[in-house]
Amino acid sequence: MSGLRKLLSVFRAYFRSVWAYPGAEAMRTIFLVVIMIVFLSLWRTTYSAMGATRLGGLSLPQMLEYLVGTEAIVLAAPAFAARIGDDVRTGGLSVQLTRPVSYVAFQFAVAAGESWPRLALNLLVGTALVWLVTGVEPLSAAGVAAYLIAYLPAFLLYASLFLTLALTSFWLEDAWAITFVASRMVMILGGLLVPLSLFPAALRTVARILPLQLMVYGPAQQLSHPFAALGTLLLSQAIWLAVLGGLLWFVYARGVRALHVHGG
Amino acid sequence: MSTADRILFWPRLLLSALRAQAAYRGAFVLSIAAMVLNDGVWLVFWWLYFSRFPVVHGWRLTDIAALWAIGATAIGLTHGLLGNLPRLAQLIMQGELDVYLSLPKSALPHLLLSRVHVANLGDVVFGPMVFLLLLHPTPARTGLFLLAVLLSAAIFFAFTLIVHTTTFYLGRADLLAEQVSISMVTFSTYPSPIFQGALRVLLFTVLPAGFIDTMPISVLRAPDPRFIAATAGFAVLLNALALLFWHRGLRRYESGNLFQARL
Amino acid sequence: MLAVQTERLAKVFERRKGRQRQSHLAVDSVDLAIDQGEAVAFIGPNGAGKSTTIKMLTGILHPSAGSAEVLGLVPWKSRQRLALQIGTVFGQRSQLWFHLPAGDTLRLLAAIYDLPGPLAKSRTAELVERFALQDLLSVPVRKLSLGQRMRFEIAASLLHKPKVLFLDEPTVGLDVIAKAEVREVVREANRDGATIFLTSHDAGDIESIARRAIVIDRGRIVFDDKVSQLRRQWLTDKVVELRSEEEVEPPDIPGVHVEKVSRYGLRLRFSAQDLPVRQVIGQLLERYPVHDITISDPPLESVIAAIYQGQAVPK
Repeated sequence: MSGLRKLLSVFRAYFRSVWAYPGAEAMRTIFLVVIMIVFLSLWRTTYSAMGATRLGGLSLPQMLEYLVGTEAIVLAAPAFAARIGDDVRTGGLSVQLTRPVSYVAFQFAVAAGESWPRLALNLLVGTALVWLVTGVEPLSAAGVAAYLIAYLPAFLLYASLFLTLALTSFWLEDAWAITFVASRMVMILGGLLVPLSLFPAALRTVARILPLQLMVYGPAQQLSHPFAALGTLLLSQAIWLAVLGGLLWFVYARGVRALHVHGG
Repeated sequence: MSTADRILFWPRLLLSALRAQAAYRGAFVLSIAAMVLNDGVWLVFWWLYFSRFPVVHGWRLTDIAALWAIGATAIGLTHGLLGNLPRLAQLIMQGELDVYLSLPKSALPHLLLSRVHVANLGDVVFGPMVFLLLLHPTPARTGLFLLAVLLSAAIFFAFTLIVHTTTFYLGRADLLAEQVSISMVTFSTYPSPIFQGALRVLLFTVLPAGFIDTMPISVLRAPDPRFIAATAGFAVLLNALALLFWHRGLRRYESGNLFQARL
Repeated sequence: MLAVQTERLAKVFERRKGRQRQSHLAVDSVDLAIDQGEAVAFIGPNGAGKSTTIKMLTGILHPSAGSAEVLGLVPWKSRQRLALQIGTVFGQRSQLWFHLPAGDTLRLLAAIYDLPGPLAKSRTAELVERFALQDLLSVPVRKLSLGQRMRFEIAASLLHKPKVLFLDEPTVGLDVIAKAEVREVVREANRDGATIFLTSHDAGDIESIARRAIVIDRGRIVFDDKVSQLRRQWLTDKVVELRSEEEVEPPDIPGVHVEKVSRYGLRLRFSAQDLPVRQVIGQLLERYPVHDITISDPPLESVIAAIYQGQAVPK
């Protein structure tokens, strides 16, 4: 079997496993619903307190849809640290490494298999909620299309970064802390909670330089502004993908060598 | 063995639990630091927010800081020091209560004090730190802060216990317990006036985060005896209910039997 | 006062599957009467209700029906008071603290059992010496081997000199030497007067520890007598060992199973129910110039294996 076919079957297996427990998946969306209710309350209050119809260029339904877009990505994100930490602790890693398929590629396939259906579910549930509460149909076909186009590289960027961090468990006892801190950076500098357009100027500049906003803010922004500067976004994503991909490759090669030195 | 020894057993147990986790010194320190940083990032979010929109229903940045100081300390005490509380559903499902039930100590305090959850210990560090550094700790305000922490912790404790003991009645309820607990914590970190209508009723009954969201104003800024009394009454009631659930649930404990099937 | 006494003890597990309620009768109706100082093996196939019974006797589970008393106490009502007088070792579950040094976890357990300081010290020292644990006291439990850990588990369960000791698979996964050590210690506790209630897959455990065997199948007691009777009654098989004066060819008698052939020797096995002993022996004597012959019951090991494979009703 060729490498790609193997990965495809890994992807399919995990993709299916998500649907095998519909009850559990439905339970996962509880938090999405809660956080969207919180955001709805917060932003409704804010718009009315400011007497504004638009903040940072977004109307209230657009703001909410933006937040559905960011939360959908982050809540569907793969949990590499837990999985790889388990592999290292249980010694399952040495088994994984002897398989005739790249460990990194395998992890990507697993992540895609789990994340993509969850993204779709999150988007659906979140949008339905916004629609129900505001009465405004928030999504356009063009917006969704642009969002999904930008999501693919965003997913690869996110996966590269967090897989790199998770691989530190080859050296450290536990990569939870470092991954957790990184996810908080995504939360603030990636635009998970507030779109970059509402940042103070200095912080916005910092956020723009970093790749975190390409993983969350970039795609979510496309929902309300379909195809606006999509080309530039994709180009920045491609450049950063080369950088983070290279970093991942470097850390992985080092990690495997470290394992061979003091055993898995 | 004297009564004093018997009482001293509990802090001694907690100390052992702390030492057990601190054995991994690197991970211990790093996890605590990560949680402190996490809480800090939320304050940064609110700073961003208030730099753009100065007031929400009379709430200012210092009120949010107070909410985080109170809430984080309370969560740290209930989910951090009582590290088995947030994983109680799992323990029940996997039959892990067996050990506690075969030893001659009251099972609930025994299991709760047997493990600390390191990450949430960061909250116990963060909360008081924010209070001391940012919130002008006069003796009177310190007293009020401690009162707010006590009331919040009592509510968090009872609520989490109730949610997890549903496992006795529903079978596989770990995922549900986890999601509902996170929801409670999430609702507890926003200013209460933004929640209106039916949601507000919900937050002062089944998902009692509203009490915690009101602490910065009605306990710390302008102490309201009626609110404090009502909250204390509610906390007592909720704890009584939680203990009832626990004790009745134990009768239905299955020690891991037949819990293999997933939802 | 009996050590253990139950009457029609039963446990039903309820499970909702979709809308339907399913109930599973784990323990049907168990009557037990065990005197203080006895050593009893409690055996039966997997899922027969052994663990569920033990868990009811230790107060972990509440029964669905029936009654039980252990040392005169109702376990699920006086759980803590009972726990001060009994010891439990669950081979699959540890009462030790995984991340703490083994010595600390013994000290903590002494406090759990309310042992006053001086007594805790002398008792711990005594057990440490008997189990040869001195060198392991500062090792974290997670770094102990399974055998070392089990020695600590049993030492821990004896700290408070329990009157009844419940052991659920105490030697599972241990090597031969560790098994022998565990058995010796349990025998010693029994000699000191402790009642032993043991479940095990291991015929060696049963043979060396228990004098009485109780077999449970599908939630009911199907055998309750001496271990030696178990061996005689459970399987009606007989084993014949024969030495011949000349070289032997294996016989071809219908119903007789050849277990082993050597140059001058044979080991045969047959069911005494299907074939009269007289007939088989007659044929053998006729066929071979017999130098020596022994007839015996099958080893306990095969009896236990048969029981655990679900062949839990005596022939």
